[in-house]
Amino acid sequence: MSVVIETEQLNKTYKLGSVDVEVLKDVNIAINKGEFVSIMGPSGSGKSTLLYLIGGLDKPTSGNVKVNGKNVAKLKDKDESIMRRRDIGFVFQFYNLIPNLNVEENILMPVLLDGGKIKKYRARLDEILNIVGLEDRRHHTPRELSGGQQQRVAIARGLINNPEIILADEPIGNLDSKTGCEIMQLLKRINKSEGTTIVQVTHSSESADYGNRVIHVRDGRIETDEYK
Amino acid sequence: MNFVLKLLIKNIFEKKFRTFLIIFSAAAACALIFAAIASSSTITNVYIQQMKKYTGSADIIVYPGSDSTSPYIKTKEAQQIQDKLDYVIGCFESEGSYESDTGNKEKLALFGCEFEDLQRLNPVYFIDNKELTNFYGREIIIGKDFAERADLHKGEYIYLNINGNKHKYKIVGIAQPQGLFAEDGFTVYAVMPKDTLSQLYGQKGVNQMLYIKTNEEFSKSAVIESLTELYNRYEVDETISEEEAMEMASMLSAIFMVMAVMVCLMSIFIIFTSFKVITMERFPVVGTLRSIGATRLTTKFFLLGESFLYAIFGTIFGCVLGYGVLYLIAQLSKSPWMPPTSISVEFEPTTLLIAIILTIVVCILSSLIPINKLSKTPVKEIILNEIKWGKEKKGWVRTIIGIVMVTGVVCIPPICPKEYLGLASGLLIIFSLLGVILLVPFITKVLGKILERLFIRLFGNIGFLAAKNLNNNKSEMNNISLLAVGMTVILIVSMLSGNIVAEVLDFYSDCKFDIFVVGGNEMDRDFSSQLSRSRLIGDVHGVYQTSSVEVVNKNEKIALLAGIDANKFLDFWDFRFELSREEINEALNKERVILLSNVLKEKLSVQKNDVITLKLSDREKSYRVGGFFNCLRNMGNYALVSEKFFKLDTGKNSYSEMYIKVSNGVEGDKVVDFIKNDYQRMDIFIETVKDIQAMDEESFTNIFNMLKIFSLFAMLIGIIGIVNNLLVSFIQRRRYIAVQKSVGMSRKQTASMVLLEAISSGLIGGAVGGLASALSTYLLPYFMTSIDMYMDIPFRYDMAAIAVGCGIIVMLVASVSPALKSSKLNIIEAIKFE
Repeated sequence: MSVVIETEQLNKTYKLGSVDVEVLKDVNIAINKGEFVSIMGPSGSGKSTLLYLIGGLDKPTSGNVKVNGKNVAKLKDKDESIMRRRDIGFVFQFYNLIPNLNVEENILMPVLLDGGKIKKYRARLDEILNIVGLEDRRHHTPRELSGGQQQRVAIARGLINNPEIILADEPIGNLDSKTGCEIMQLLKRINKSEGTTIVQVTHSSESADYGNRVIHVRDGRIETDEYK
Repeated sequence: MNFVLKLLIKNIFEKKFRTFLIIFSAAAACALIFAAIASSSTITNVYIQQMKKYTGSADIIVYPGSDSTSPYIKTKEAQQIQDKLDYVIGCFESEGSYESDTGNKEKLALFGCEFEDLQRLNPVYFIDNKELTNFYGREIIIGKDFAERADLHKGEYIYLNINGNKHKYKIVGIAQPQGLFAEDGFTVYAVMPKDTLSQLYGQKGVNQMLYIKTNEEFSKSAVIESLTELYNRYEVDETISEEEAMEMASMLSAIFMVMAVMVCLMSIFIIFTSFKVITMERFPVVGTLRSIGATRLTTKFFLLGESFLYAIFGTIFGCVLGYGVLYLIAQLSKSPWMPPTSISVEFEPTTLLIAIILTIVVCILSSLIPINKLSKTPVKEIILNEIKWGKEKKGWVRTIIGIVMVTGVVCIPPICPKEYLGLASGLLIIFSLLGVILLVPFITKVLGKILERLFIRLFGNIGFLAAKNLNNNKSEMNNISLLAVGMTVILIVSMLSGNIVAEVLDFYSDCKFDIFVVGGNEMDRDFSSQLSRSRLIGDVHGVYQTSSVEVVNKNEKIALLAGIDANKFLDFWDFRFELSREEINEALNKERVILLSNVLKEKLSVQKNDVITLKLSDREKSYRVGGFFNCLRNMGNYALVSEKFFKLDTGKNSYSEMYIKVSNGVEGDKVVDFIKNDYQRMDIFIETVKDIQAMDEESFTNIFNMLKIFSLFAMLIGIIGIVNNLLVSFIQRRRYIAVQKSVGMSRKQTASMVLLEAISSGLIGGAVGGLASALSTYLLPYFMTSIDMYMDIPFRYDMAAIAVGCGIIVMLVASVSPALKSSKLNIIEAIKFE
């Protein structure tokens, strides 16, 4: 299996007033295509930071992050943005949908940013709405949807460009257990059917059980890295 | 209490730009309310000061009229009511000319008066600050400006040509350019002892004019009445009609007030939106206070205290600013010849108090809604920051109210009685603005849809997203509203001034002659014949005129009534008559027929062949309305009768105005110089039509510069408000911008989106502003009608297009900072921490 995500001696330090806080210390991981990885750890352990560095939302202090062989930290803004549109789909804890756009428009956001014609993506849109089960909500705005439905829209947005990787930050952290379960099943289904690599950050061991690999992070270091 | 005050002051200075914005908004509201109210008394004062150049402190003048048996007048009759008067001063007036060594001639108005009397009437201040102890015999006082031009000095002798003879006088004083000696470009005064002047005409101890000042304890009108009885064959007039001055000032003041209210609306809007943000920021403090036992009322007072402090700072700056605005208004309303120091700003302390109270009310009311909302929120929601702002309101209710208001604005004026039209149209201008602001979300939705389609073609998907972002975006709506109000104020002023100036120019296009002559009682047929004989002059026509003619039982006056020789008049004026030249001639000469301007037709509500009764020289004379015409003379308040009946009914035998056509190839200025030189002795005003037009344009330009001060405030507040809104909008939207960046929006795309949003807001703001301006231009003629100014104010598409362009530029410039901030946004910080 090919490696799609790789970190080498990855370090991240934040300035907190005059104090340097080391959030990640010499992190080395390699994630293969099609894996469903759960990153776990206590609050402040650096798991979300690791996810953001992988997604190019933040820059490492030292070390490398490679996505599909490209060193994310070295990419220019334009290439980094293209990578986020085409290669990666993000799912956040608080859904982060654009309130004045409807479901379809929110899902099509990466396509729009990529300069794609909406008409060409009609079939793909229908397919994704079918996968996330929101065909009858396509013209609704986020405020007209429940939390679970909003998270489904966020997942659909992550899938629209058929990316190789989905990065999910506490995807069910804001949902009740039943809805959370549904969302995790959806992610698992996508992982299986589409072959999409999924990396999620989670506090919940139940949520982590949906994946095939669990990485424990503590004090900025990889504590354990286990396949199930 | 000290702690609360400290906390309030700390809160206020926490966000400096916002504090500046709120205080500036309050200060602008205070300044403009104050200036608008006080402008009436200040402008009245300026007009009175201007008129006092000639009449000093006197409030009544008595002079020989056409019925008088003598050209001179005595003081002894007036002395019978001495107890009611402060003084009675007799003067002798004449003219002379001075010829310099180089041959330059200058005409001088000679004022014969005892020095002590002059000091009471119109005080003279000498440039050497010395007092004049004796003033008698062949002595003269001249003004500083004239002395400098003629290179004359105190103690030297001056030769004047008076009444055909050359006379030598000793200069005993050179006066500062104040009062009589302030040169207005028309008359240059010199003062000499009364008897010295009158003796040149073979008289001694006589007066040509009495200047009288009423004792403060008595009413001027009662004194005028007594003097009219005592001098029954003389003319008794008040020197300055305060009523007329106040009327003119109140007209301007009313326009200022409408402007001030518009600026106040913008201030209310800015303070309201700022307080929405303030109350959001104060959650932790209010939550803490509530959790430790503070009541709702206490927290409400805490926030209202903040609003009150803003109001106090605002009024302090506003009063200073208002005084400055008032000073500018005074300076702009004065004639150029008046020294700046001669003008004072006039206002009652109550005016200041009203402005201060209104500003505090504006601040408190603007902040009350968000404060009330917060104080009504349960303490749990405040502590947990779960308060829901900007709940979906019933948009359609707002839209319907807006439509009803706009419909009312269109429908009410035509059916409103004239006596209420001024107030109604003033209020409706404000309502039109409110109505349009209420329609902003609806208009934005409709235009947003159009822009979505347009922008996707022009700018691709980023254009589509930018247009989409306008929908339900409160900050953008606020910007659109601010832009629209600012644009409306500026467009109203521009269209009004542009139109009035255009009408002034149009008025002169009615003139088919080159020179305008206005005279006292000396322009008669002889004078006309003499002029006609000059080879420089092609044709001359004189008309008899009287002003303020009462129309019996109509409660209206004809501002200007002219007695004309219809046959000739039509060669000099290009009024648009319904009748042919022959019909006019026949109608006017056959019987007492009056031709009315269309403005008077409306004012008097008359039809052709109706009979109106005019009060002419205390006698009532009936005239049949023979027809109507369109003209811009005297703001359209003008009527014509035959000179034959005019002379019979008014007893006037001298022309009030004469119109001169110069001979082919002759310059108008040359003819003016010729008449000025050859008819020096005559008290006439003569200028080319071209020069009068330039003077009129200048005086209107000054008036509109006053209005522009108000629109400048609107523009400033609008721009600062827009900058603030864009920054607030950026803070509110940074999370969503970060989300867009997280799914692949590049820096360039982010900046482009923000700038395209600015263009969209500018375009929609321009459209809304255009609608509000169109409604205002529809209402303005009604407003002008209420102050007897009849004119159409066409909507100027060119000005509106420029305003939209400027609006887009303002939005673009104001968006540069948010665009840069957005493009450099740290995604994680924005997503994780709100």
